[in-house]
Amino acid sequence: MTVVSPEDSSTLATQVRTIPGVTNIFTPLPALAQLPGMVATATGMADDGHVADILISTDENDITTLSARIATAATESTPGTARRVADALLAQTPPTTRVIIQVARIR
Amino acid sequence: MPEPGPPREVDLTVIPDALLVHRVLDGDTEAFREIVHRYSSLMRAYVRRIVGSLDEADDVVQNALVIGWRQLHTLQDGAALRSWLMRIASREAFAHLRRRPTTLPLDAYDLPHAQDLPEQSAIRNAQLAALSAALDTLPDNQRRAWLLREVAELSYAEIAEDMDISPSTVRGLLARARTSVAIRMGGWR
Amino acid sequence: MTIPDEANRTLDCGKTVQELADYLETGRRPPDPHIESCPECLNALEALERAGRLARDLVDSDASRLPAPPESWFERIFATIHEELRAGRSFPISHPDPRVQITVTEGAVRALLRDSGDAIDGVFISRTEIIGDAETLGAPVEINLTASLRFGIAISTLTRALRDSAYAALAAHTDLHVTAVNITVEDIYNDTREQS
Repeated sequence: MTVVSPEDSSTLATQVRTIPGVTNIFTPLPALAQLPGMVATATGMADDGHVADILISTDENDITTLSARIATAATESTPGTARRVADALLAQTPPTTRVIIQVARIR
Repeated sequence: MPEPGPPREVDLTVIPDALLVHRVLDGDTEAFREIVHRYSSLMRAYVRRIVGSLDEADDVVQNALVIGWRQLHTLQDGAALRSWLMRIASREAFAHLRRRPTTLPLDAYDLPHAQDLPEQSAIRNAQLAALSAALDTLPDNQRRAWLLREVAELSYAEIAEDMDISPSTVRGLLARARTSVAIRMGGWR
Repeated sequence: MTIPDEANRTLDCGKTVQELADYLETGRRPPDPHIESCPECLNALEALERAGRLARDLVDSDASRLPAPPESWFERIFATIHEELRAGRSFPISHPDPRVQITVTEGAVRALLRDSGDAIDGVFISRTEIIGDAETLGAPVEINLTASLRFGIAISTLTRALRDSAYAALAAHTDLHVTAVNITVEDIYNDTREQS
């Protein structure tokens, strides 16, 4: 894949959901602001109502980053699951792509 | 929509208020859900007595619960959660009244009638009906002070702060309110 | 005895209803020797107090008969709350490929700790803390847990089980370098159902 598009985002998200240990994908967050309030787990809510999937962004150097915010199962090793997700995304993208995975919930 | 999780291992309904509060502050939203289920009916019933309609009461209590969540870290004694929430509900209810442009016509009030009460002893039914009617005849500030004291269980200092009057004025209002209510309930026999 | 219809009506003994109501509001302190021994005054005090006792009954009665609000009423509250939650720190999970960055949120780990405690019968975790530079891979981290135990359960057995459970959960789900799990037993709680 050399061109990123919204369809790729959904396709990747669908694929990630099938990886053992992944129980959900949430809306990806931009850089987290430190707001006052309570620390808590993610909710899975898509802010604009559409299905949450993988964020694909490109910076000024044309480096593409895939960001996924996931929930993992308590019955599987979370690092193992997250690494499998990262590997799956790396396998689908050009070598210069970065991958960011955030585990926001373990249940 | 929040993601539904597997069934919880712990039954939050048996956990006392003070512990639930700690848990909410630790970040557990399920614990706050339990608090909402535990106290929303009481708050709605109480606010309805103040604002007169259930629809408005529901709006007021919805806001009050969110405010309660935001301010939960200021609650000194978690065991006082019930009266603390009632205090917030009171404040929001009276603020709502001040914002309402006109008073509702009498037929818009949907307070429960005596005949809607469940089959209990006839004497008890009559007492509750008499109390309900007596409250409705009080001047606003007396009713407010009485509700804050007897139902929300606030201290004189808290009532004074809420109503922006002195504690001794609170005492006077309560004395007159109690007198009127007792007389109207025919309790001198 | 005539039934007074004004607050200033005087009882046969000379006390006014207003005086009695004032006396009630002071909590009957200091005790008034006349009032405390006069049957008419005592009856009047009882009447003044009865309404107060009924007040909670009235609102409780209202509450039990209120129709429940629709689910959307509850969901709107929780949706608002979820928007305001802070994610907390992000703890790194290692991956051999330098292009990859994996983290697990503090919120997720604290929920994990609560769950690992809740899974033990009789334990209720009320507070969790992750102390140390946990955002740096390999930095030493201590865990503080505050637990309430249900009345009647042996404390030492439970704290050992809780510590084991916490260590196991952290090992399975994080790359945190945990050097200690400190447990504070703060409360013994009674099942509230047994109290009513």
